[in-house]
Amino acid sequence: MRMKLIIRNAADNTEISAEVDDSDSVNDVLVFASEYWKEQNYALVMKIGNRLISPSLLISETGLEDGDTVVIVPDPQGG
Amino acid sequence: MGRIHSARVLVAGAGALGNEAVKDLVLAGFRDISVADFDTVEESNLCRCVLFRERDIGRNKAEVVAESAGELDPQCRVTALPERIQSLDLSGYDMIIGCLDSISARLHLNSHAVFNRTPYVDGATDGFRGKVQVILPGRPCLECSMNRTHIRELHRTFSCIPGRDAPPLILSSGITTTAVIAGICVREAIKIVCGMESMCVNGINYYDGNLGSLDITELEINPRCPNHGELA
Repeated sequence: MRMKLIIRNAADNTEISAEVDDSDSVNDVLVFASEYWKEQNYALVMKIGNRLISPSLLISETGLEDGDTVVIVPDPQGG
Repeated sequence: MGRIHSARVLVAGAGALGNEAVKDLVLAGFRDISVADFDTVEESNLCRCVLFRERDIGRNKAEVVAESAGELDPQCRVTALPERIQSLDLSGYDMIIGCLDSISARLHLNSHAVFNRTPYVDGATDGFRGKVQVILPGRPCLECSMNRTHIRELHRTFSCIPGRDAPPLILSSGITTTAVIAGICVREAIKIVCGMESMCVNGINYYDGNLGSLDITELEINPRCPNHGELA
């Protein structure tokens, strides 16, 4: 089953609407988002509200629903 | 103060974040600190590393930090470990504070901490952004939140110095983020040695200097994490 997610980039507050399949994994969505926003040099995590969405889950396992907004956040790694 | 005085703390990484963390630990009363880094001081480090001076260029970072931090409190013993993190003997420490600049080094400490039940406070920065995660027994670890975008950057070094073409705003903001994140790391370290683990940050504490926000992202143990799942 396909559903629409709003993906917001916390780095610049822009967002896109993306159609995903419930057999896609959160990992797939993260890689898509990093390529779309050309954030290939940074690691990202995906949140809904204040909860991090486990990357290994399938979309069907996340509890996400059609029309939900998820946020991708740059995950700092510098020191 | 007795617990703080006697705690054995390892600070992994002596870059900008490691400098700030060691300075804060010494001033907080810790007296047995080891600091590890194989790298040497460069001129570009001087503007954001509180314990480095121009005369230190070319010297090992851990040795310079140990020497300078020892001057802040002569009763504090700061031991330099001029080695790669992956080569260190990590046993015998009450806690590890990670101030690293690569995902692979972080994962090395993370696995050690989970399997040996050693408290591990991990700090990280990038321009205006930073984060802190406290890894304690029974809690999610760093790897629980990692995904393919982390794997892609596994062996990259994320310097504390933005590229030379970075906007001045980003260049100047770095040290303010570093100070915030190091402060949180040491605050969490104090809680751990004082037996207040239940008060430690649970999840990932993200700091966004653009918004001035500091929030906690909830995180669950990932059953497919190699440190926690069926493979563990």
